[in-house]
Amino acid sequence: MVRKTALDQGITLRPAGFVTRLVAFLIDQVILSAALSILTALAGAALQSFRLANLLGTEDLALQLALIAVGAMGVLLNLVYYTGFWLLAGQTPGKAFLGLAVVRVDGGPLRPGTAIVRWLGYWLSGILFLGYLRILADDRRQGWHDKLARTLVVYRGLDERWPALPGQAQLRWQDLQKRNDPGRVD
Amino acid sequence: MPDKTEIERMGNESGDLQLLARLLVGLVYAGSDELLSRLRALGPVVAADIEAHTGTVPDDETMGDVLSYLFVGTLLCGQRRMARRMRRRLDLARKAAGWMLGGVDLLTRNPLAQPFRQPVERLMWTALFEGQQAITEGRREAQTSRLLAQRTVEQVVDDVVEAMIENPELIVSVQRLVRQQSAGLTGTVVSNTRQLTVSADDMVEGIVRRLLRRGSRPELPPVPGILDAGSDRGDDNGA
Repeated sequence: MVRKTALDQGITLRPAGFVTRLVAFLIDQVILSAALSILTALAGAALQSFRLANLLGTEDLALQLALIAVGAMGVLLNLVYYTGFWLLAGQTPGKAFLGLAVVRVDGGPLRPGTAIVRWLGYWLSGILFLGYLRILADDRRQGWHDKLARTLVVYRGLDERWPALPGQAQLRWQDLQKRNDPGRVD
Repeated sequence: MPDKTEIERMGNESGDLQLLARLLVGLVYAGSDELLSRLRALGPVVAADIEAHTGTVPDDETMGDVLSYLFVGTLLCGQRRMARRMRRRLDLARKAAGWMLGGVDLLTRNPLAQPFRQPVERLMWTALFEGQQAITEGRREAQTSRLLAQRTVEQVVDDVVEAMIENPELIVSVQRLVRQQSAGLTGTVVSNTRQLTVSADDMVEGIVRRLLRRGSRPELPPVPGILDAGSDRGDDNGA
């Protein structure tokens, strides 16, 4: 079945700017931190009751292992949170609050590979935040992670005509550019 | 316990901000007192009920139930063990501090060490004295705040109930207002935040592009949906 695209329904896409994305990112980080704190507390209590320190013979080693476990858990949670929400909803809760969505540059929904590359790109962009600051100067408002995964973050707004799932948002960036600037050559 | 005139005097002296802080502290105290007293009252009842049901395993217990019991049990036992261990460590730390201070005291009880000992001793006594003063002040503030919150809440509740008795139609209006507000408030907050960030996007971007001496970005399409109002302002910088 051929679904109606967002463009067919008269919705135009506008790449989101740095401030909106930063606020969305901070909201996501708050959610992630809260979740990680709860998980850490639960895991700590569970490890304590299983007497891991006694099993290993030394408490220092148990502490180091616990720190490694918490770190690994944080990274895993981060991966599952971001890629999961991008793939399932096309937006994380922070992005949803600010009316943003993540799409491929050709307007389609993110594939698992794209999502993972984008997530890995987050870490790359985190180097001195240069990759994130790139959003400010880029014509398409893309950070390094967006360039790497060939994705765009766009304003979705509260337009109810927007398809419910990203899979239905078959918008093409080139079409969009032509529509807004017919004389433009990519 | 301070009386009403004392509270009023203190309020005038310290200003509205401190009064508000006291009210908040008092509300926290009063709320936690109320909650704890209810929990304590319920404790024996719950314990008796649990005693009566201990050992009975329901027939329809699933593996999921068992796992959840394991998790809860582990969590609570772990918390108890952790508390015991912390108590032991604190005792040990207190003893160690005592031994260390005793040793330092012995070593510095001679005329040679007096020039070093005296300033430290003075500092310690000052800290102790100030700490004691803070505790006394805190105790008095806690009582004042509690009383203040109690009286304020009583007064506000009395006024509200009185007003509602006098104007029965007020209840209907309040109900309607609350219903409308709760539905509209979230939407308004979200919409305002989005409009604000959209404007900020273009403003910050405009500044950065000027600083980097980059030309203006190709015009972007308008922001969809509820954000349209904000995009009018925002597009000026982006174009």
